This record gives sequence, structure tokens and C-alpha cells, in this order.
Amino acid sequence: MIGGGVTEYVVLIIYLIGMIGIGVYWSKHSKTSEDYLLGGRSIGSVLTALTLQTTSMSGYMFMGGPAQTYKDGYFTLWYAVGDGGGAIFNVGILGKRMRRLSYYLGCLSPIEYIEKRYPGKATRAIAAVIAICFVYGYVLAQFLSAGKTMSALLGVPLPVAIIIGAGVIVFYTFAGGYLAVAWTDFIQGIVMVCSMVMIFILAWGQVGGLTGLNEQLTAIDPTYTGMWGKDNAYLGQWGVVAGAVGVYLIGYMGLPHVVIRHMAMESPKLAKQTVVIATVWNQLFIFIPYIMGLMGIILLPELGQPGGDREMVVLMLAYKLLPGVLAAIVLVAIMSAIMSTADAQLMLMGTMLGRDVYQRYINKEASDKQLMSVSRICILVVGVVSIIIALLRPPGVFSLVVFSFSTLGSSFLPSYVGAVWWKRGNTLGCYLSMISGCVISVIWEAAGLAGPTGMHTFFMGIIVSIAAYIIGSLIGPPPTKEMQDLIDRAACKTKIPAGLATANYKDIAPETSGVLTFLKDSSYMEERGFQPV
Amino acid sequence: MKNGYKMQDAFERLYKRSKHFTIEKMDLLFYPYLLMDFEVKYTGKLERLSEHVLVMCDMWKGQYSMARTSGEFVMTDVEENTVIPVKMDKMQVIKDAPKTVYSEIQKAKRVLNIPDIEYESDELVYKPFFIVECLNDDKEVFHILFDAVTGDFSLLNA
Repeated sequence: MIGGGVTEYVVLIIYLIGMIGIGVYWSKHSKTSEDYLLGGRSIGSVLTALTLQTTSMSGYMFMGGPAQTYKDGYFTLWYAVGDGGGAIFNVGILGKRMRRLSYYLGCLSPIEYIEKRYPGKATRAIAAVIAICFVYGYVLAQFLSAGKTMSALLGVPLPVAIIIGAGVIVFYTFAGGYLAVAWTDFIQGIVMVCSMVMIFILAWGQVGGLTGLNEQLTAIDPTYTGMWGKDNAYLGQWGVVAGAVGVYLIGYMGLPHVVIRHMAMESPKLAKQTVVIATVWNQLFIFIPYIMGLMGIILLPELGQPGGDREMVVLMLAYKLLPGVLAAIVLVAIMSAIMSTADAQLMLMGTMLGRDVYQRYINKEASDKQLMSVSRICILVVGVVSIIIALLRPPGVFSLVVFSFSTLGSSFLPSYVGAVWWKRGNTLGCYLSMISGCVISVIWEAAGLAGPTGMHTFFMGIIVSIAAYIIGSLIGPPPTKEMQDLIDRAACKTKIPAGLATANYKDIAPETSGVLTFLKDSSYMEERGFQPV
Repeated sequence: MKNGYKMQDAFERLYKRSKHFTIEKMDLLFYPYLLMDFEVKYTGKLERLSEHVLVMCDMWKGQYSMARTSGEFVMTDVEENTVIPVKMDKMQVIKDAPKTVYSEIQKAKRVLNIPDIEYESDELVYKPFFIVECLNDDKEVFHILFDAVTGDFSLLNA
């Protein structure tokens, strides 16, 4: 316990009142329904990029990443290296082709895209079950992070803090959403970024910069600065290194909630700016939490002792380096950022369980009110189960997030990439790939096979999943001629001028698909002297 | 819906993006939508919501979207074969429309509380698009769909 004083409670109360005040003010002053319902659309590319990045990385960034670096030293930076290049890699391979094919298939959601590209009775069920199970990993990671932050902030024991933290998140998801406007997300993001940079600069000065950091780490244990992990734990295990880099470098291509960004753009200008800002942001910011873990080895040696919790490294650095009020503000900002991430993920899970499972397989005629009730019950159950798991056997935030990421990546990556790059890729290949990628990842992780075999869970999962996709696609019947034509068209052999190639506006995506169907089925083009479309 | 962009405006807008192509042909096509007005009511402890929202349904494919504004409308005569026919059932479209409002609220506001949504009125409207045929520097053909109301455009077959 590092907080728990009057300052922390006062800051927490003022901060919460401030955030609620902004929400209430904004909701009372929105002039049109568009402001109210679609408020996020009016913010620019900088705000969009910052908000997306900060709210998507909270628990992992503040606890998981630094803790793992504290444990393994420089080795953990392999994950950061992959993460730094992931966005560009992802856009380069899937970007245009996936956007075109999703237009032609007329779908805007990633599970719907898989279902239409690989038509079959079980496609949606398999995809939804895997997505739900492993998005849950992220939710649990947020609950754990929230509990630990609460414990640090309020000075209460961890089990009590987990119950409070998870309870607050579930309550916030039920009641607080109307007030969670883009601006509160943005303010939280700014506080988080400023705090992290401030702590980083102060700690950097304390350890004597890069030279001081490396010298002191080497003095403690030379293997901290090596590329194979502390005590050379992964010496010569290139399979583990490849998995560590690959999980974030290519793994993004298998995440349904990430690939959806390729399927449509708001506008070319905004999308381009957002990608550029996000990429620059990644290069600047991805490494900071990891390096703070390294600095923690020197500045907070007690965390390495038995009973020390390495996931508290950033929180304890805040208390060690910042004045009391500022440290409390940092912790509150972290807590609220975790909440804004967690509630979005809980909502996503609730919606998937309601629409993709309950409505599709249990009650096809379910009304919206029934769906809402089912989603609420599911969220409540998820919340209670998470609290029980967190109390009985809490996993580490880092391992939980990497495992969830690896499994989602292994399960979906071959199907998403094959969908646009291999015409032969078919439904059987998709089934085998999703199931084998998921099963192998779970077995590998549960049996702890990464260490003995020198093969990272992601690396193993993706190899098996790709092999299954290829074998299934070669055995099963090929996709229809119509589907193969669509894939050919998505490949776009025609050279399009650069200025036009990026001009696929999200707002007219449905019409683009509709007009194409109409033009193909009617004599419009011929009658008006156009070339066939 | 009233054209915000005439043919000449579309030419200029497209050529502004690139000089490495030529526009060979351009013609109008009208896309059908049902524009529906709903009243959304919600009463919470800290706030109240009573707003009109506009939902559009594409009557060719049945895709819904939230309309940003009601827009400007004009009556005009058009050639019959430039109008995409209505395929969707109007009553079913109106019945299903509140789902779009719910999901938009959920996405935008991340809430589980749903407001009451009451149907007010509807109107069948047509939106003008330009079909644009272009040639690249290698004289290969490609087509663009140009939204004559907003100026947005998208590659049709490339």
C-alpha cells in the first residue's frame, strides 16, 4: 500500500466531480442530436488518435509492460519493437485489399466479413465464441489493473480494492456511459501522457540517462542488458524471440476489433493523418513504459524481493518522484483511463453475447429490450466471475494480455490475410485455422510449453493455424466463382493514381457496394455508353 | 436531395486529387432512401434527453445510417432508368429502424440504458450520385462513385 492518505481521497473526489461536471455540462449544451449521439465524429485527427491510443493501452501500458521489463530486462523490448511497427505492417498487408473486398461484400463488421467471405453455418458461431472468450482476457486484465490502482490510491488491501475497482467499472458501464464523452476521454488521455512523460523524465535524470541506466543494470546483473532475458533464460530461443516480435508486429491482423479500421475510412485526409499520428505516437510512447520498468530495477529494488509486486512499478515511481498531490492525480487519471477502456470492452462483450449468441442461436425474435437485458445480465456475470478469478488466482496483466492477443491473432490472422491474398482460401480452411489456432495457443500456454520448446505461444499457434488454413483450403471445395471474381477485383490490377487510391470515404461505403450490385444487374452502363464495371 | 456538386464541381474536385488520369464520361444515378424522424426520450438522474433523430435506410440494400441533418430537397424530373428501384418493404424498414438508434447510442455513449424511441414521420428521398468513368496513364478504365450532395467519392471497381 502506497497511498491511502487524505490527499488521495480529496484528489479522487475532486477529479470525479470534475469529470462528471464536464459530462453534464457537455450533455446540457449539445445543440443537436448529432452532437449528442455522434459527438466523437466532430473531434479532429489529433484528438481521435490520442484518445484511441490512450484508451486502448491503459492497464497493459501502466502495469503489464513495465512489470515484464522489470522481470526480464531488455529482452521485453522485443515486444515493443514489434508494437512500434505493427500499425504500418498491418495497413501494408491488409489495408486496401480488405477495404475493397469488404465494400464488395457489403459488410462493415469484422465477424460479418468473415462470415460472408467464408460462408457456412458455423462460421459466425466459431468466430464469435473465440472473440468473446479472448476479449474477456482484456476485460480481466483491466479489472486487475483497476484493483491494483485502487489499492495503491486508497491504501486498502488488494482483494478489497479489486472488489471496489471491478464494482465501479460494472456500475460505470451500467450508468455512466451517457456522461463519458469524447472530451473526458481526451482529458484523461492528456493527464496520463503528461504524467508518464513527467515520471519518465524525472526517473531518467535519477538513473543518469541511458549510460547510467545500462551501467547500473550491468552492475546488478549483466544479463538484464542482454537480448536473451535475465539469466539468459531464452538463450538461443529464436522461436520465443520471433513470437515476442511477431505477436504485435503481425498479430494485429488477427484482431477483429483492430482490422475493422481497414474496412472503412472517415475521409482520406483524416485517416492518413490519424495513421501518421498514431505511428509517430507509437515510436515515442510505446517504449516509455517498458524503459520505466528497467529504471524501476534500479530505483525500486524492493519490488524484486519476495512479496514485491512488479506491476506496481509505475505507480510507485509516481509516488517516489512526484509531490503527493501530483502523484495522486496520476493514479486517479490511470484509474479513470482503465475504467474507460474496461467499460468499452465490457459493452463489446455484452453486445456480442446478446446479438451474436442469444439472438442468433437462442431467441431469434428477441426484442431490443430483451437483448439489452441479456447484455446486462452477461456483463454482471462477467463482472462477478472476473472478481472471483482475480481474488482466487490473479494472473499477471502482461501474460494475460499477451495470451489473449496471441490466441486472437493465431485464430483469425490466416483467415483475414487469406481472404484477400488467396482465392483458394475457403470455409473449411477458415474453420480449421480458427479452431486449431485457438486450441494450440490454449494448450501451449496452459502446459507452459514455451520455455521447454523454445517456441513462443503466438509463434506456435500461428504456424499451426496457417498450416490448417492451407490444408483445409486444399481439401475443401473452392470458393464460388463469384467470390473469386470479387477477390480478383479487390486485388485491383488497374493502376490507380495515388490521390484517388486512398479516396474511399467511409460514409458512402454501403452505397458503393449497392451501386456496384445495381450496375452489374442492370443495363445502366450499356445504355449510357459506359464501359462495363 | 439537392445537388451540392454539379458536374463541373465534380470534375474539379477529382482533378484536384490527381492529374494522372482523365475523366471520359460522367452521368447521374439516383439512390433511394427512406428518411425517418424519431423522437428519442431518456430521463436519467443527471440529465434528460428529448431529441429528434433522423435515420436513413438505403431502400436498395436495407442498410441503415444516422442522418446528420435533414438536408435540402428539391422536386425534379429524372429519366426513369437513372433511378435505382426500391427493393425494401417500407413498413419493415420503419419497424427495424430503432435498432440503429439503439446501437448508435451504445457505440457513441457506451451505455446500457436505452431511451424510448417513438416514430414520428418518414419520406422517400433520392440522393444523386455521379458515375464517373476514368482512364489512367496506361489507358486502363476505372470507375468512381461521386456523391453529388457531399462531394465524397469512392472507387467503384478498383
